[in-house]
Order: sequence, then C-alpha cells, then structure tokens
Amino acid sequence: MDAVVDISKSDTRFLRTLDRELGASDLSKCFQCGVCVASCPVREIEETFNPRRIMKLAKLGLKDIVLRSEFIWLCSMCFMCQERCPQDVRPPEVMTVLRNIAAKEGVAPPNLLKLVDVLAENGRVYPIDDFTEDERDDRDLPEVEPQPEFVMKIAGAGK
Amino acid sequence: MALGVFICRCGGNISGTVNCEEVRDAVKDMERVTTAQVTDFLCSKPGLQVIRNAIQRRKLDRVLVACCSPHMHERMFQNVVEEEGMNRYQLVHVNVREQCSWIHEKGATEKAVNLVKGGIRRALALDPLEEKEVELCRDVLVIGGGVAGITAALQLSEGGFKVNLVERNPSIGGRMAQLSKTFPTLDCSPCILSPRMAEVGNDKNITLYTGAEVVDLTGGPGNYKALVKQKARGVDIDKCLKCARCSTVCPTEVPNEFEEGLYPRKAIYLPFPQAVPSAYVIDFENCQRCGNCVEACPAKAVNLDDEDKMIELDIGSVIVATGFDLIDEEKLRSYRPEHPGVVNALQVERLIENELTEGKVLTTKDGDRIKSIAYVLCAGSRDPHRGVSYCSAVCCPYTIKQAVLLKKYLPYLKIYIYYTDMRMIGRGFEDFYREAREKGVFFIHGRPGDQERGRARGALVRDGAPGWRR
Amino acid sequence: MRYAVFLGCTIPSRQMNYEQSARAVSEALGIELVDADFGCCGFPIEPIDEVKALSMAAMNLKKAQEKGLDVVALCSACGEMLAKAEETLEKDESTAKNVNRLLSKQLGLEYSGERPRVIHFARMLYEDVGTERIRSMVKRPLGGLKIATHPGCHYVRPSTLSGGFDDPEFPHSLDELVEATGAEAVDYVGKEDCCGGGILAVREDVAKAMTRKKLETLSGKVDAMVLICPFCGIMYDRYQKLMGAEMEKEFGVPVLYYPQLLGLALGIDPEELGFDVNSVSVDGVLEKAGV
Repeated sequence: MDAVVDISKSDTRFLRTLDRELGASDLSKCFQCGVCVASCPVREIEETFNPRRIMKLAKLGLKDIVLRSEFIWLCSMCFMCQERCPQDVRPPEVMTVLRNIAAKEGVAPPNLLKLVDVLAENGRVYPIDDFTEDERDDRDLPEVEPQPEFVMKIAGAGK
Repeated sequence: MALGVFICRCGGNISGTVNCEEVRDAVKDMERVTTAQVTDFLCSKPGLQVIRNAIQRRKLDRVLVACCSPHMHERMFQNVVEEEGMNRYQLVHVNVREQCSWIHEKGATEKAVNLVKGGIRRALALDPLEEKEVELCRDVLVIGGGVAGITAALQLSEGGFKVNLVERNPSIGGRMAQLSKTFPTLDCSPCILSPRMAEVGNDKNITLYTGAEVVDLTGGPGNYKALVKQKARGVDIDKCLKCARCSTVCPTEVPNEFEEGLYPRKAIYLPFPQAVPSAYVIDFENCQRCGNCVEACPAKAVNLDDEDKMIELDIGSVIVATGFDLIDEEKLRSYRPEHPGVVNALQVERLIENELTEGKVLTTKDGDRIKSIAYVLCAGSRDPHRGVSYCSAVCCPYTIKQAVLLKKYLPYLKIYIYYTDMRMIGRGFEDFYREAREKGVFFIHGRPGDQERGRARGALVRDGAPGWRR
Repeated sequence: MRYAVFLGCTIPSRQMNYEQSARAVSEALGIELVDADFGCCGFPIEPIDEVKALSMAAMNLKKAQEKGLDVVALCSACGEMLAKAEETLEKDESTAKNVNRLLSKQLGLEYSGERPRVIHFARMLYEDVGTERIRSMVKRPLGGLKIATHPGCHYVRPSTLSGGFDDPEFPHSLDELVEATGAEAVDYVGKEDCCGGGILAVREDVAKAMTRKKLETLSGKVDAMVLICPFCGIMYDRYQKLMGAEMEKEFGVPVLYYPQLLGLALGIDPEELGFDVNSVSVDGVLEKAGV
C-alpha cells in the first residue's frame, strides 16, 4: 500500500453508503490506537495486512484504494480486534461491508464469487453425491437433503 | 389570591427562541392569574417598576418571574416584592433562559409555557414564610487526608473554621506521599507535601482522625451529624518515640500498602517516615497479639487492648476529597497483570524511591537485570468496555516523568511507550515530552493487544520487554 | 433434552467423524438431536452478499422455530452466523427489510423475528449438561492424557453474541469439558489464535502459516489437540498431513473433536466415533487411553 494518499479523492457518496450499511459498528469513532493491529493473527504472518490502516482509509472515504486492495479480503474474522477495540469500531463488520461493496462492483476473489454459484446450483458448499450418501449410510448417519431448495433459490437470486 | 406573571424578553436572550407573547397568552386567563405581562429586562429599574406597579395596583400577593436563572437576580426580585409589602417567599422564579431558551431551538416556547404553568401552580400553593435565625454549625468535615483534603483543611483553618479531617489510612498524605517526583518540574513529591502535613498536625483548628471512616451522615447543610468509626491504633501517639524496637521484634509480616505490595511491613509499623500523626500503628487484622512489642517499647506506648471508637461530630458542611484508586486489574487481563514482570505506575514510583534512589538497579525476582520496560498507555481509559470512557489527563505526563527519571538513574534502560495520543496539556508539558524524546525514550503509536511471557504483541515492535507497566 | 442439530455444509460430507461422535455421545448422555431440513447457514457468502447470507440464516431460524426447539450447532462458524443473524435482523431495520424483500421474492416467505436459542454443541454440554454430570458418567477416565484445546474464534467471540458465557480472552469452558473426562488440559502460548481457515480460499499460504504456528508450538508436547469446529479440524488435521508432506516432517499432533475424546471416556466403542476419518494418526492417543 502506498505511503502517500491523495485526500482529494475522498468520495462522499461512498462515505454515505458506509454510514448506511454499517450497523453496530462505529467506524467514525476510530482513534487509530492500533490495538486491532496488535491483536491480529493474520498480521503476524502477513505483515502488510493492517486493519488500522484500512479503517483510516475507509474513514477518509478513499474508496478506490480500499475496494481495490487485497487486504479487505484477508481478515479471518477471528473477532479478537472487536473484543479489544476501545471505541466499538468492530473491524470485522467494516470488512464485511467493504467486501460487499467491492463484490457488487465486481472486485472480489474469484474463489469466493464462485461459492455463490456453487450454492445456487447445489444448495451446499460441498455437494452430497452418491459416494457421500453411501458413506453416511455405512456410518448409520441419517439422510440429509442433498440439495436444499431454499438455499439454491436464495443464492441464485438475481441471476 | 392574586398572582402576577412577568415574562422577560432579556434583550433577545429569551425572546430570540421563546415566543414570550405566546407564553403570556397561554397563561393570562388561568385561574387566579390577575395579570400577565411581557417586558424587556425585568431586572432593570423600569422593569422592576412594572412589578412594583402591578403589586400596588392589583394588590398582588404572589409574583412569578419567568426570566434568567435564580442565581442571577432571585434575591433582588425578592427584595423588591418585599419592599412593596409582599412576602418574599411567595415569589416564584422560573428559569426560561439557562434551562430553556439557551439550550433549545425547537420546542422552546412549548417548554417555557409548561415551565410557567408549573410555576403558577407552585405559586398558588405557597404559604407566606417568616425568616428565622437559627444556630448554624460552622465546622467543616473533610473526608480524605490526601493533598486535596490537607490543602482544604489548611485553607479553612486560615479562614477561622474548625475542621475535622477524617482519613482512612493511619497517616495522611494519600497518593502524593507515594509519588517520587511531580511533573513536569520534577519536584520531590514528599518534600513539598510533608511541610503541609506537619502543619495539619500542628494546627489548632484542625482535629485529625486517622484510621477513621465516615460511616453515616445525616441532616442538612449547616446541621449535619456525622458518625465516624475510628479503628484502634494500638499505639499512643503522644508517647511513641518511633524508635522501631517494636517492629523489630514483631513476628508478623504482610505486604506494605504504601509500597503497593512490593515490600513487606510488620503488623506494628510506621506507615512511612514522614507520617502524620508521627507514630507507629498496629494492624489488628493481622496482629497475632504475641505481646513482643509491648515488652520492647521503652515508652510503654503500646496498648493491645485499644478499641475501635465511634465518634459523633456536629458538622456544618462537608468536603469530599477521597482521591482515586487504580482500575480493577481483571479488566486488563489480556496484559496478564498477575505476571511478575507486569507492574502498575504507582509501583514504579515506589521502585524508583526504594531502589533507584538507593543506587540499586532494577532486577527481576531472580536477580536478572531488567534492561527494558514498556509502558501501555490508555489502559482502561478511553475505553467504555474495559474501563472508563474518559481520559484521565495525567497518564501521559506521569509516564514521561517516570521515563525521564528512569533514564536519569539507568541510562542503559530501553524505554518503550505505547501510546494512542500523547496528551501534554499543561504548561511545560510539551517541553517535557521533547526532553523525553531527546533522552532516547521510544514512542510507539499503537496500543498492544496482549502480552505473553514479556513479549509485547504491539503494533510495530516485537522484541523482548521483560519489564512492563499498566 | 431435545435440540435441533445444525450440521452445516462441511460436517455431513467432509467431517463425518465429528457428526458420528457428537451423535454417539448425545445418545449416551440422553440428549436427543433432532434433524430438520436445515441448509447452508450463509457464512461462506457473507463477504460477497450479506443479504443473501442473512436470508439463508433467517430461513434456518424459521425452520428451527417451527420445530419448537433450541438449536445446537456443531460448527462454530454456523453457530456464530445464526446468532449474529438473530441480532442483526432484530436491531437493523433496513437490513431486515432487505432480507424480507429477497425472501418474499424468491420463496414467498418472510422472516418474522423467529429467535430460537442458538448455541454451540460444546456450550450445550457445558451449560445444559454440566461437567459434573459428564464426570459422573465417565467409564474410562483419561488421566495421563495431555490435551491442548483449541477453542477457536467463533465459539466465544464476539462476546456480545455469546453473552460472555466464556472469557473471550482466556476461554476455559472447553478445558473444563476436557478435564471432565479425566484428561489434563494444558496451557500454551497462542491458545486463542485463529486457525486461519477463514482466509483459506483467499490466501492459502497465509492460512497454512497460521495453522502451522500452533502445530509447531504443540509438536512433541501434547498427546492430542481437541477442537470443536470442522474448519479448524480441516486446517489442523488435513493440512497438518499436507504440510508435513511438503516440509518432510511430522508434527505428530493427533487432532480429535471433543465428542471423540468424550466418547472414549464414556466407554463408547471407538468404531462409532469416526476415527478413520481423522487424517493424522490417532493410534498413539488411543493406545495411551487404553483402547
């Protein structure tokens, strides 16, 4: 991520969207204390992942940088930062909202976009085929609905 | 009953937001309201004349003024109505400025109407009152013998008041006595406090109750009764020579509260060298009553049969100066406060006073020299979930103070201060902050999440930091 | 005690050991697990379309309410997702409206605030059954086994959803459940760390590194790791084997689901506990348990 950002690119509509979409999170209260960075297990491995920075960029309305970055997809949603954040910013919630906005604009990891199709076609993340059904039977496990229709209909909405 | 309602425009301060005419019209036809008028500047001579005239002409026996706060002119209005032959206590003062026009935009008129209507009902229910003179108690009770309580007591005494100073601990002094130096000037804290403590001990107007707590307070201003429970001291204050022979032979050791638990004390002990009252005290909760101290005392000052006392005091007013306490550690458990390498700021003050000023270095329990110390600022503050939502405003400056002191005594010590914002608000504080940076203290903008085995999981720095602070 | 059991997507096809053992210990403890036609909880597509995800969760909540039962989830992520959906749909009016718009358009149904109690399977054992009762039913005490628990993330966090039943900083309920079997639950650095499963689809290398960290801490120090979420299971079990092969080493940390451990202690036949599904060999721990 760049060290210098152009603040004139701040997008007011994006800020309004964020305000509308964020529920319990209080992004505006973030005072950059950094306890989220300090508590993040992903950051210990990937040092460029910086939730504090993402919060700051989002707060500044720098839509392009935020939505196009790989980093909003790296949060493992462990909620440790949410437990420790002193101002109820709830970074995982913010990540989810940012991800949704990015996905709507077509910018998302292909693996995740594919999951929606998988659910729309099969109603399950992992399909239940004949082998699986036989194995379940061998293990005396009850039958499960191989293709829950409601999932397919919901996931397939808008296609 | 004849009531007059007078609404002041206050030169726009009220009429700018409250529609005064509307308020007048809303009440002028109410029962017993003889007249309702709107004026400019009710407190001015012409304004007051309006009231005077109305009282005379309409034979008013109650008056309601809807204007600014009673703190401003209540007495003056009362004087005026009294001059015109009315009872001054049948004046009702309704605040439609500080409590209405100055704080609302929408709904101000409606609120003013409600306030005035409430005032009218009150006015109609008032009986005339006579002033009487009563004996007031002018003695003051000051709860808490820290620097605030001490200062209050001395100032009151200078003003001629008798003061009862009640302090929970066996000596006055409070937190300031525990500090090493003050910020930003690095004055010696006990040195500037103990003369004032000594004054308290000597002052004829101040009665000092130590080892005491206020258990009940009844009555009202000018007429309180306080019930104070004073714990048995076990040592006669006037006889004690402070020779220390008693504590030498005492078999019981417990953690010393003044030293924040870092060092031990005996069950019979001197709270600290500059203690006032200047005498030993027995901690009867831990005392084994072996009697060694009684035998050892050359002044026969020890009395193991001393009993708790209940003292009743007549008091006119009370000052509460009970000071502060540290946050419950449980809230900060992610920093593992039970770890021997994690201390709080008061403990650092005691370490500086006990170790560093004696020329020693800081070591762990095993004797290894401590080479680095990390401070976690805002621990439990600006954080409604784990503590309080406000900022204490003292942690930043006192941390810098400790850092500067530590660097002075132990130049090799690496000091890391993990901060969220450095709030250096007082005079000389910013220079103090610069001094710390110049002396090589590391400032890291980031709050650590937790600590494990002395390794800070901080925002940027992840090297070993065996000494810690909350 | 009857509960609607929520299996999610991963367990019924990929981690049947968890399902087998959970059903087996439930039966032994007199708990009835009722199946309903649940479907995906929505968690995997929450990053892409939160409304769709919440809609799926809402439907599952409706189905549970129809059965009139509390829901017990075997997967921590499912548990969190369902509990979060209940909260969000109650508090966030505009999201609830969007969800209902989708549901009525696609299914002709609406979510009307159904809020059955949703808890994790392990929490049910801890709170509703209790460690005392479990201890009393142990037939084969597992004393001598050193177990490292991996409570995972969504079991206790966010604590606003779990009602703080367990400490989000230092969770201990799973340890107490392990100790009820007679085994010893050990403490270790990084216990509260995340397995990384959540980002497996995005950055496999980072996820594997997160998993590897805990395995390296525990390798050679414990008899087994016990966990309660199939995603954590896949990371620490399947990927342990995979990474072991890649790095040409053996971490040697058998990974058991808690009901598998409990099943051993309750004297249930190991055949019924699905150990054949576990990737890393469990022979060592079974032997030590006296099986």
